[in-house]
Amino acid sequence: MELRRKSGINSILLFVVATTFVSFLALQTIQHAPTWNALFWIITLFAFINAANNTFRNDSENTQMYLNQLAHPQSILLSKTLYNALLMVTTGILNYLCYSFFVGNFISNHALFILLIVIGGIGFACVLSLTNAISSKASFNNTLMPILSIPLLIPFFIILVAQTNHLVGNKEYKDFAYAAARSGMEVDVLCKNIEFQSSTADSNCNVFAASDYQNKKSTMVFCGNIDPHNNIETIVKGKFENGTFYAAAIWTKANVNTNTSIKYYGALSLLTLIVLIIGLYLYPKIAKF
Amino acid sequence: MRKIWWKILCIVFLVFTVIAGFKIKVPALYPTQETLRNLFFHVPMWFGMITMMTVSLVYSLRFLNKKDLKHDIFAQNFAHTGTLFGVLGFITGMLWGKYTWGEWIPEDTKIIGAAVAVLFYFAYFILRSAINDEEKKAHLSAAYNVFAYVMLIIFTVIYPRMHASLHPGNGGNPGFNAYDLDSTMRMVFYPAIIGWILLGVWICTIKIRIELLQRNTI
Repeated sequence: MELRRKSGINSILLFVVATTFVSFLALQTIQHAPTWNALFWIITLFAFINAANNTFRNDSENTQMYLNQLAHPQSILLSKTLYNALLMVTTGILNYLCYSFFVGNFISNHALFILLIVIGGIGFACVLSLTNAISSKASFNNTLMPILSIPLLIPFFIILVAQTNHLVGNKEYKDFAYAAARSGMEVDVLCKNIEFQSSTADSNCNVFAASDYQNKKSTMVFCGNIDPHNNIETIVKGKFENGTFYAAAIWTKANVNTNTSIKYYGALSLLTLIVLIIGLYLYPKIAKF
Repeated sequence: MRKIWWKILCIVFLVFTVIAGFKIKVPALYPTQETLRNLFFHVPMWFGMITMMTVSLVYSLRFLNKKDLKHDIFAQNFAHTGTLFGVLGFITGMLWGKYTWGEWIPEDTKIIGAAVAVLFYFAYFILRSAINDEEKKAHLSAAYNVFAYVMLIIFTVIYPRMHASLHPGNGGNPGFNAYDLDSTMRMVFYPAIIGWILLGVWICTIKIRIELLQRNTI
């Protein structure tokens, strides 16, 4: 039934393209990953709210009454949510494509990010369908919709932004020259190669020869166990003191931490489920109005 | 409702809280020092807020099941008082934060969580003010209230436990935690919680009675 209304879908597509194009005009390309992250989710949020705005509002009172006679309110809400979820996943992925085309792409793992968009889109659909059901019954529903839904979407956003930050790596990595200039300050250095040299008197600590992206070599001291990181991009967190780099933590760049990812995706799905259940419980009680 | 003993209890507890809260010796811990006395005012606010919101939720659910407009008035007023407690909790927390962490509002998961939680209830009141029809208003806001309460619990109970926080009890904070409270502080802390909650209930009952009287006259 919703598919018949082509103008709705087209306006959302136009919205996505227009906003990404405006951000492209304003920024050309983004150098800073958190900015990319923030802008992406803001555009997505408003595209989603626009998309969901028509869920219940476009049905006239007569249509709603007719629908209520035909089907159980729960199934109406469920079908609207399903449709919204489909719409939002499409919008989200399209937004991602557009955004990476115009502004650039920071994501290291595309499949995981698309999975994030899919779960996030379903979650958003659950929240927005219900808030739209509520706000469509009130006067001033155009302004009411964002007011009601944005606080409810914040938990989703916290998870989505955190996971995106996780996927883009978030930080800008430095080289040894930068670290040497700021000796005593903790920095993250991206290393190309780390070779074992010798053990220090304290048997826990080892000395390594590390070379950074500018192929500048430096001696590095690290206490604890690491595997030899030959020719693997490695991030070293630590600081310079007296010409030696003391590393506090070492991790490889390519790996997205699976445990954290599972935690985030799990939390997101759980949240979606909770919202859906509450929505299904509540909607029959307010459907008659 | 109109029994008097709990009101006397409330007054006694709160007077005790204020007097004892400023008079007793508190352990000199870094970085709180003497500001630790704020414990008797800041923490009970959040206890009070959660209590008020829970009562509000119960009345919203009862309204949704029984369709009695009286329950809606109860739910609304309890949510109102709960929000008031939340805002007061913020103000006392800001004062405390200024003198212990050096910032009015440091970036902290518990603060963000509480801010968002209060935001839900602001949205709830905006929703209420946007609908004119009483029945409709009661139904929709009751539904939203249930939603808001779930998010409130997620934000104030679950979310801060997932992250480190400046607040005592999680993260590597050197201050006190619930187990460091010595016995004299406990003597004041528990009455303070009960006293503030009773005060909240008292405010609610007065507001509810005013509103019920107004409706009857109309």
